[in-house]
Amino acid sequence: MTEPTARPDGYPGSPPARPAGPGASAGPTLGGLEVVEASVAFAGHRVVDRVSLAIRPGTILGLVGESGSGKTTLARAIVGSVALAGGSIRLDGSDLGRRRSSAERRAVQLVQQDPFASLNPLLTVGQVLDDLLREERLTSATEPGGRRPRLARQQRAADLLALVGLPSDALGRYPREFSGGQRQLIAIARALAVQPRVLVADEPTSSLDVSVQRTVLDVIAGLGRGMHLATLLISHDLSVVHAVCDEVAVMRDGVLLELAPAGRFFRHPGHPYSRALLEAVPRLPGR
Amino acid sequence: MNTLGSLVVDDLRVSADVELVHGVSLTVAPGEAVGIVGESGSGKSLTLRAVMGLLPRGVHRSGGRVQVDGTAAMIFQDPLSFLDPLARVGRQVAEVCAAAGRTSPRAARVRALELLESVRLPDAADLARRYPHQLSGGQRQRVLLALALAQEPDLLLCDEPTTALDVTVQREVLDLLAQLRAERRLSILFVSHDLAVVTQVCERVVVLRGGRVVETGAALDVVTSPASDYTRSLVDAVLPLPVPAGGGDD
Repeated sequence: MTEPTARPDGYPGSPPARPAGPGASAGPTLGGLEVVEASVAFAGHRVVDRVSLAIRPGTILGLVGESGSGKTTLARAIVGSVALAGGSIRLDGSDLGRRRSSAERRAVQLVQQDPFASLNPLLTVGQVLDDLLREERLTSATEPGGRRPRLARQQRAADLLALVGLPSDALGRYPREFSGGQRQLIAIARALAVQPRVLVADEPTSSLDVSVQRTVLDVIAGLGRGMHLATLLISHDLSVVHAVCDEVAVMRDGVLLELAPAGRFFRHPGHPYSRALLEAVPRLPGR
Repeated sequence: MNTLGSLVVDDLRVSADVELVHGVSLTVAPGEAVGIVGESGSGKSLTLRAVMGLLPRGVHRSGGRVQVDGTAAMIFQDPLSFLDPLARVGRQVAEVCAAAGRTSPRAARVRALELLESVRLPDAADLARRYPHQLSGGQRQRVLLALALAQEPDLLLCDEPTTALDVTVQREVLDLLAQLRAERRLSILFVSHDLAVVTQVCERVVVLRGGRVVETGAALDVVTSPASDYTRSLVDAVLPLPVPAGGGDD
């Protein structure tokens, strides 16, 4: 049985210096997202209780648990929409405090279960992306503090759609004109528009038909790895986590029960509850 | 020959402004469990609701024949939308018992408790005094099952009954369904988007797409050697999950 409060391997004793920018390479053991002894309390009750985990850039951690496990609350704490009652959340070694700067907010992006609810129905996809790109002050060394010119923004928006596998003519269309899977891809493009370092995907395929589930997962995994993001994939569906994750964390009643590399977790789950979860999933005969 | 619990659906058509279900035919033999699988928009839920006569407002049966031999009852994905939020669950079950059996209120209350116990709700007497919002999702689905059983059904219609449940609770409810089916010789028509769940519950499967039957056959045959490209694509889209080593069975 995994010690619930054990720190993940390689956790540094002191915070490292923050890398110079998104392109800067992290040290051999540092960088990415670190959740250290994080707790969240509602009405005096700890719904997340001293959870520690780390996600290195370019890797995907799958967080599983049943309803009431605290997994979604932990996600909300990581994106900064819920305050911590204890512990800390660090990005590349620096503390993401209670009040986050706009740069810190941009750095941690959330993709939710229902893409329709998170997209403004009155704006075209192009307008949604353009608003984000216009807000964004370029942080590159060549144009510090500058803004993108309009044509550059249009090109960037088309590039973002291409990244998630949507045609550029989607820019002129409204969210309702897309299927559920396509809307989720748009939500991913929107999250990536602000050049985040952490992507939190909370049940991103749970309301989608199985035929499009795979596409959305492949986009999240491919871009998360390719863009060197620390990706947290939250799912109640263990087969989703199995498909794309490098590590697996299991929560129950606010407590982290197990944190293990995916290969070991799915073959030899360390906690009896992890095993119960894995064994309860109905399998297709002959698969 | 006893045909109680059998169902014949013949050339069923369901329409709103346009036709949504285009001539679906299927049968359920007495005691048989048949699954309807399909993606969103396949017409699987509309087909089930048409059998029960519970189509949404603005949607109607526009053709075909539905013949149930015996009594049909239905359970849904979301029990909260079906349960009265202002009534204790014991009373809700008792009311259905009274209506179905035309018994005295006292006999109905006793029967309601029996039913809550028969769906393996622990401490049923205590639970009967609670309101729906005070129950967990799994407990509510069991209460819904008790309500369905109170109608003494021969055919149980199930519309994604475990889709909103946690996986360990889903397992319990599916096991319960199998036990009840054996005890009561229920026929079952089970709608789900989840092929694995359907093959666990049902002997036969009907695959729907766009309001039409694509394929029908023994559940094991349909998932291991699908006859249609569409069914194959559905099977292939199911993400594999290995069984952990060293389980209790080996």
